[in-house]
Amino acid sequence: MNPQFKKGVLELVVLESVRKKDMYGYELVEEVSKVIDVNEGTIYPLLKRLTNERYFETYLRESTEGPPRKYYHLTAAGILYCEQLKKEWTEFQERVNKFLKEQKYE
Amino acid sequence: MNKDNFLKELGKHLAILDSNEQTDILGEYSQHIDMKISNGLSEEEATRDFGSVSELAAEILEAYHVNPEYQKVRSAKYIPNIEKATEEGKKAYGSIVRLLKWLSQKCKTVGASILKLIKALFRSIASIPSLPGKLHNKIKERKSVAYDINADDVNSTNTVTNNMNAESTKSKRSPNPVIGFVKRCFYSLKHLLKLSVIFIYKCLYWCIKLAWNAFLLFISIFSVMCTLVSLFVFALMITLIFQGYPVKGLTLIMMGTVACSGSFTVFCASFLPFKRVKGKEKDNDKGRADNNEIEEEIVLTANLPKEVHNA
Repeated sequence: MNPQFKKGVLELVVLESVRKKDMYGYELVEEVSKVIDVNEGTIYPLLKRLTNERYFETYLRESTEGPPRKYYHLTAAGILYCEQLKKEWTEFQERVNKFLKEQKYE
Repeated sequence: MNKDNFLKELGKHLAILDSNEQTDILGEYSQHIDMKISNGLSEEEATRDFGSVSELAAEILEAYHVNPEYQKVRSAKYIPNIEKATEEGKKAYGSIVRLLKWLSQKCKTVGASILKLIKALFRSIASIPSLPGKLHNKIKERKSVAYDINADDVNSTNTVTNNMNAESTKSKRSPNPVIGFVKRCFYSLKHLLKLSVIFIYKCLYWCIKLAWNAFLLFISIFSVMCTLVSLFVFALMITLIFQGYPVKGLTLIMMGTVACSGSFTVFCASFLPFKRVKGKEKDNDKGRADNNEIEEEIVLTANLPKEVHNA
């Protein structure tokens, strides 16, 4: 897949994933990887940026195995941002789809 | 690349970030790698999935709105330079130490030579006041020589009267009286010269002393006058202040003037009596010495004609 496509949608997928339930990094990477085949490393910078922009909150929770995990939680601003992104995405992909369907090959 | 190397490499690229942020991000990645390893992957495989470290670091830095190129420039240019700089710094340090050592050695030698010079100066200065004494000693020496000559002459005359071979002895001793006369003339001339030198020296000494004392006196009197005048003006200003005039600044200035001139007066006064007393003592000593010299000169001059006569 075109990496430019991935990059744009990745944010939406991450936000949607965390909206369902709070997740820690590795879990989130696995979740996202189900949808988009993405370099695992690139999700962490995205998480960092979204945290810096106050769409995510983080907290530590003890795990049964290994050190405590950092969980990501979507804030109210994050939910709004997620809704906006979803709307943009659906409108965008509808228009693109419509355009693609309307094309008649002569 | 194993986990530690990967984290180290990534940390190097993220050096621009705050250390808390660095540990945060590196912690995330190390946890991720640990998870992958626990899922059955090797360290190599786990880190390979992240792709190029520099690209990853660039993405992380972008999340902080940091220009990744800046870090690249830094890592490319400045980090090797630090090592170079430390080497250069060590070299520079060594050269500075060497320079300082050299300087200290030079300073020591120069200082020693200056000390020698100062010592020599002091010696020469110290020798000046004792010049009359030296001359006096020299005169004494000359005198003894003269007496010796005199004694010789007396002996010779005795021998002349006692010996029957007068002509032979005369022919032998005839040059002696002439030489003695010339010698005596020479010595008397020398004494005259010495006396005149002493006289000039003393005159100069006195003149300088007098001028110095007069100068000190004048200065101290002047400063006393200044103190009195400024004290008067100061008192006047205080009364004016009490009457409500805005002359606080002037009063302060006058106070300063009073303090200044007063302290200067005290300074001069402390100088003046000290100098005067010392000078007086010295002068008394000189006077005594001079008297002795003059007496001796008189004795000498009194002796001279006798010697001539004897000769």
